[in-house]
Amino acid sequence: MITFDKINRRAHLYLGLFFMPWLMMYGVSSFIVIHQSWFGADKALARELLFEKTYNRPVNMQGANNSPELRATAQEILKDCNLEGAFWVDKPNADTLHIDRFSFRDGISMTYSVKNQKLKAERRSMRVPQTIMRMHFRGGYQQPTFGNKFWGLLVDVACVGIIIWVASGLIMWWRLPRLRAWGAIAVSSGLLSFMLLVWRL
Amino acid sequence: MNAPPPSEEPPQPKTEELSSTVSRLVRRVHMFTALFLGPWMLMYALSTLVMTHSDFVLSFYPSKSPALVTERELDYTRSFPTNMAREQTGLQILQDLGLDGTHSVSGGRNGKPLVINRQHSLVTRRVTFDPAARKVVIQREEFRAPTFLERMHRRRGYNHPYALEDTWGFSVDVAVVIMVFWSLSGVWLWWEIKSVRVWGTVALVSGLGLFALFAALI
Repeated sequence: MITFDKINRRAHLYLGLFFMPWLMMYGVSSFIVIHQSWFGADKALARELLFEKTYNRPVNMQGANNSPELRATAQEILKDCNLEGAFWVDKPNADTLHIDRFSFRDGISMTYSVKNQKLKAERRSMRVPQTIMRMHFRGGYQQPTFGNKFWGLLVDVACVGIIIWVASGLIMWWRLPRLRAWGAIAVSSGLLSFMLLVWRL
Repeated sequence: MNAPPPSEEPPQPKTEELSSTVSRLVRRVHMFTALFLGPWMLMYALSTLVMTHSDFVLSFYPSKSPALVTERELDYTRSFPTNMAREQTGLQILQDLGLDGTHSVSGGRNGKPLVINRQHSLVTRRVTFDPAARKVVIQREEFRAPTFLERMHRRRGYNHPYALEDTWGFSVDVAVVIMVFWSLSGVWLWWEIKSVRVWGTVALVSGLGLFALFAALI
């Protein structure tokens, strides 16, 4: 018969193995985010011109930066250029639309001048530390395409997984009577340190 | 529930004594560091959920940002040279008020009031100094659990000249390095348990495959 202990251990183990790449990525990326200059993650590579062409699409410029109205227009432009995917959109000025189309590997900056009817696209490759950082910041369900939303789901499940690791880890420790005393010291000192930092920080 | 836990320690023949010692050490470090860093992990997991579902979380609150409650309003007679950097002015005001600590300043130019955002994980304060009226207003941000979690998540340490900031930054550094250690030691510990190698391989390979697929596609 499968006992609770066994289910708990297996959940800890298999969740850990499945989400190992995410845990690793969050560990490495957090370190890079904190020490960006050590990894050159704060230095962008040069942009290369993808295309510059005449383009005409009526644009509703009334919406705020990244508002649903502007996003709908930006998505149409990306579709016209076969560049659909995750993006942000903003208005640097009254007659210019700027689309930041991003992936883990690169970023494409698109500028559409409504007045001059010109569309310009420039691509910027990412350094490895920048790619890892992008993975860190990616989450949620705002971006189009199934892949982006599924990544958001995986991030959510990874977070729930971390909560389960903590709970199952505590149970596993408690079930080892020999290690209760030292474990209790580790748990209480961790809690106290965290609370003290939160209280004073 | 009182049954002894099933032993998953690997067999320890005498010839493999060293390997067994290393294995035991890895197991213990894996466990004790996890017990110590549990609060950090919970905070990061919960705050990530809060940030990715911010619209849903905010729907439980009457406003997008927490309200500011006026704590104190007082006369402030100290005058500052006109060429003094606003950062220095802000620091002096905080010291005078007994509120020295991590902060940022804005405004304070062209006769506008100087606004000091005194950061704190639990109680963030806004100190507004109006040099024309010689008044200081101290406002406290209403506490909200989601805001607290997000603030803690985004706090990196090291950016301000306060030892407490560096301590927090160091604790985060330790936590993220240990995360990498948990990943690697977890694989080591799994491989030692022969009975779970097949399903463990399925879990590991499917996780790695999915991660690689997304890294390439999105």
